[in-house]
Amino acid sequence: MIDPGIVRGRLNQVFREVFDEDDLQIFDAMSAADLEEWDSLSHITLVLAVEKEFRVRLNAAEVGKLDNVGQMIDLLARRATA
Amino acid sequence: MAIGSLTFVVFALLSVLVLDGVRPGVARDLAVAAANLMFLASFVATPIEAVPLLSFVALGYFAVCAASRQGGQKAVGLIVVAVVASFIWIKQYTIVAALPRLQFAYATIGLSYVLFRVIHLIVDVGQGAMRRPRPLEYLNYTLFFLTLVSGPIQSFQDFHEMQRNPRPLASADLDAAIRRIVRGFVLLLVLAPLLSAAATDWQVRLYSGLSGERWPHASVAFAAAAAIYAGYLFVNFSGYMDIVIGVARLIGHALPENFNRPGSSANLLDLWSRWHMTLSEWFKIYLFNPLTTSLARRWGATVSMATLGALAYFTTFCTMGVWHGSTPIFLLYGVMLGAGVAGNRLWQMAAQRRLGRSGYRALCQRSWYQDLSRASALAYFSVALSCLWIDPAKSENLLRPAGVASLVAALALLTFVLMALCGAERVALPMLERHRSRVAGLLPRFESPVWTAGFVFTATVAVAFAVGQSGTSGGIVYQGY
Repeated sequence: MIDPGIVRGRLNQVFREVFDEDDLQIFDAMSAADLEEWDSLSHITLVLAVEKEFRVRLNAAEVGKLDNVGQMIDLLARRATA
Repeated sequence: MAIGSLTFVVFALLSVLVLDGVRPGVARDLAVAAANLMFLASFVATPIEAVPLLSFVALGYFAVCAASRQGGQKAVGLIVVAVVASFIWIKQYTIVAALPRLQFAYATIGLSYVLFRVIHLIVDVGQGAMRRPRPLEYLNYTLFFLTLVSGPIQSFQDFHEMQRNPRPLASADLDAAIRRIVRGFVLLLVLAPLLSAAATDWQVRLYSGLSGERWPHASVAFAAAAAIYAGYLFVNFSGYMDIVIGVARLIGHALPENFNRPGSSANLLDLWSRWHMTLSEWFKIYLFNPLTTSLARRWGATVSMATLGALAYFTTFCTMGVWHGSTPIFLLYGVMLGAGVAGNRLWQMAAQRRLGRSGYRALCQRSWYQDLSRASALAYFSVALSCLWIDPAKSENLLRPAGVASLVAALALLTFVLMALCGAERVALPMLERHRSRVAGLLPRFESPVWTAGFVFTATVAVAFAVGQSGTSGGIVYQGY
């Protein structure tokens, strides 16, 4: 299991690249409601970028349930390889 | 047993009383199974009429077992295709009209919703996201009497959690559940029949206008019929939802909501996150997400994400439309939904490219743009829904150039009227908000159980009277899909 703090840092960088905002700061409760550009389509772009960064392949249920950043960090800390 | 019938009220009351006295575990599973079978039995005259539906449920379990053993993306995909093919054959879609069919009448009540639950299980079990349910758990989940007819579509995990740990019922919950049920009956038995009658009246005027080639008359009638039918569908379906969610709460289940003020949708894409939400969510998880991911992995380097997204939106909504029915008119409904949603997405992309991100944000903040976007989404959706009621035999003139023009005029008229209503709401809401406390003071408050009981009694008498007047049986439109 990777340290959630490290996951958070790498995930923040992924968010900045996907949503093209250099000063974007993620937080656990952050969801699509907090980021205007986070819609169904950009969610997939985000998932693909996350899969590439953390070298994981997420299944349909996981992709569908990644509603907020906290859930993403928990999942990636469990599944990702360093 | 129609959800809006007195029989259902008695059945639901008995189920609540029985389940309240049964502890979670096998006993509760058996009690729910008995309720499910009794509810299902009410839809068939002879046992053989239930055989195709029950065979499909059994096939679903074998498919889940096969997915559990095989796993792997290809195997899961093939299993899903086989199950969907069986569904299409049992539902007798037009594309399989040439195939042999069963030579007796049979029930397909809730078959579509059973299919959604079975695919969820096949995919999630096949991908290792959850364990394979035991047979009784599977039967109760797929045939749960409160969600069989028209959903909502709940995940197995959520259903199982409620079976194992039913939510305790505090007096406030009881109060809220009873009010919700009463509201559902009022919507379903009083308001829905009134709207249905009005929609039918305007449909007759539309057919009259079309046959007489009185195009302005036809445009106005089309706009009115489309808007009123959309309102009827919402009232009918949300009334059903109120009843099943309220009864479910009484037996410790928290069913997911299916509507979130669809009338306030910002655009067509937003509308689908507010209308029939559990269906949209299901399609997002099991069709849109895998399809977009797969397209992006294969062609992401050469084709823009916007184009791939538009293709995925179109395919998803087209499929959702076709799910509504087995005849070609539903294909048209699917194409309209798909084209509308894909067009909405492409417009957003184009506007952002043209105006820049901040410029597009500024545009979205303008009240005229918000009203136009909201009104055009609701108008387009209402016109698309006309595929669910229009009689093709009486509407052939719509295919002529003048007919197409009258259809476009109806869409424009509806958008204009809805935009005016949005503007009126923008002015009226702050005024109502200012006088809220004064208005609330004039209304009766139902905070005590006595008041609630009185309210329920009065509402029930009113409903019974309305039923007697209109002769409606409380049917659910989505039950037919």
